[in-house]
Amino acid sequence: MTPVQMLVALATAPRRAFESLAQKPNWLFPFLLVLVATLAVTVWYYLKVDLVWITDMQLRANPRTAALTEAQRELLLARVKQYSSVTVWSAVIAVPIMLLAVRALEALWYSLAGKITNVDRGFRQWFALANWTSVFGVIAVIPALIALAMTSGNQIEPGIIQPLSINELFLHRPMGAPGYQLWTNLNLLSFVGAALAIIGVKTWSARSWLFSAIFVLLPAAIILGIVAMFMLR
Amino acid sequence: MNAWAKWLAGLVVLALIAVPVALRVSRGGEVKQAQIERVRKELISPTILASGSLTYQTEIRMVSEVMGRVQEIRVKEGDVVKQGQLLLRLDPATVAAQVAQLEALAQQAKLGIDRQQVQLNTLETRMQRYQQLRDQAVIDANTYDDMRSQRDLARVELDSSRENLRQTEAQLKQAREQLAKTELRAPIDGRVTQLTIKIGETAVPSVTSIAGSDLMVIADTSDRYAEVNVNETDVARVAVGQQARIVPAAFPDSSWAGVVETVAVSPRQVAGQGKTYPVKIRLEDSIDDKFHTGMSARAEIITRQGEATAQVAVPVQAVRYEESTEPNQVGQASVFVVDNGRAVKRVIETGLADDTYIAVTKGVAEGADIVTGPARVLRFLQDGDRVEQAPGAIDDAAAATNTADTATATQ
Repeated sequence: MTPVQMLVALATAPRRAFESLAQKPNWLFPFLLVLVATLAVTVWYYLKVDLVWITDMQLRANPRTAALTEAQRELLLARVKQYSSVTVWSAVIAVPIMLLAVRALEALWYSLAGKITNVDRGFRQWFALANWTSVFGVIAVIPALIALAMTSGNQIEPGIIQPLSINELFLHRPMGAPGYQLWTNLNLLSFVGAALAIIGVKTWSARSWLFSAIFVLLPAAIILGIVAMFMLR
Repeated sequence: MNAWAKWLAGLVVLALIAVPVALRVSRGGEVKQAQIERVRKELISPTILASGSLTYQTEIRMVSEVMGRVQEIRVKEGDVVKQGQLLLRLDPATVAAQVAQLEALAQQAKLGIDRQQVQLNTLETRMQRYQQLRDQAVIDANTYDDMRSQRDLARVELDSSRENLRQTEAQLKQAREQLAKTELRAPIDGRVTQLTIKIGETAVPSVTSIAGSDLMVIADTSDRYAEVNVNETDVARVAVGQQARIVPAAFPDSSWAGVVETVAVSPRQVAGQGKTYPVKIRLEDSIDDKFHTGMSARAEIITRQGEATAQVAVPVQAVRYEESTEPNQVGQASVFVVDNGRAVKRVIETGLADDTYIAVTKGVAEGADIVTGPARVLRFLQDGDRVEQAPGAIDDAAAATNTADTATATQ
């Protein structure tokens, strides 16, 4: 299957797509697609946003920095203004590193869980599965780019680059409100990706839906549980 | 089945793109919560800031004129004293002994004079007898001359003894004065503001401040002042009779009213600092017990001249200053006027200012609503941003308005 055929198959006949992926575990296309899309929206956001304004908002929203005096805050904001280009370049460097790290961790978990549960697949196959199941995340980039294009000012909340997050779609909590981080990072396409991963594991393991769901969701459930415990209190 | 699935997938993707965009459009821009106040006329009171210390009009530093160990102190710091009241006594033993010795010397000198007077009287009588004998040529000239010479010598010795007595009496008077000076009495009605000596310590007469030379400070507490140093660039605007507010360093929440009483003619130069002119501000009578002489204080001298009239003014924090991008061009000041729920940037020209308000000579009219805070909102406010009165700010703004109305009515 070509990458485009693979994309279509994932949306329309995912079992067939995963059977093909088991034969040819190619991961570069989805990785690059997500990387380029994420980079595009991130860089555009940071080039457009008033970095001093967004930093001020973040400082006030964070309980650890909210108590800073005005003088300390001004000093920090002056630094941000001075090194604004560094912030953009930091984002450019951080995005691929973070993306690669997250996918590698997912694949590592799948490999480990596969070895324990006798689902005999290699790391490369799991890495390809992790990348292909998250490929639909690029869909969120399109409304983000449209929203950025429609925004005239430079005081743009970071939620704009997460248009399909639970917070953006339903809750609209301001930065610093309880649960803001959790509900901003949790988006509809995360559920799509999880569903695809469950189908993929079921296809590759030939086990039950329950097994596949636990296989895929266990680490996410643990992480989300811990995050929710800290952020919702 | 496959075609149906493709269509469905396409529709889902389309919805995932369209829904968030539609939501964002429908939500519109953020409405910023701000403090909005109405522009009104205010009485501008420009001030000059100066620092200095609190002091009394008269402060007398008591020093001892005789050396002696402190035997008794009859007052403590803060005591009110009356003129002539005994404050402190030095051990008088040494001076008293000196007085006794001189008294004895004077008495001895008097006795010597008496003796010499008797002797002179005897010689005078004998001289008269010798004179008669000489007239009768009973005695020769030599015998007569010897007698006359003895009498004259006795006269001189008597005069010398009298002078010695006067000298001793002068010394005695001086010693008695020294004895009197072992008792320190209050030179004025006032209060003991400083007591530096203790019982048992030795008081040392000295014109310079060395240990033991300063005994205490008595101040006339009826007149209280703040003596502040006004920078030479500001002194031209300070004049006798101007009102001032004094804030003592230790009580920043207290302020006392005062009136400028004197402005120094010559400056005072502190090494490493610019020239300053000492200005004395008399504090009004109704000040409380927080006054402590020597305490640092800050003065705001109101330099408003004559009968000022209220001017269109805005709170100073509402004005934003931007530097000009053009060289040699002055930057511009602006405020945000609220028009139909949106903040509209309006360039203004400013006039006099005080700590609270700045006069606007051009750009904003009385009655316009402007954004005055909070600072974090004002800092990032942009032309066209939607704003609304912050819930907590309504009461504050109303209170400020009432206060301003009252102030205007009073004036």
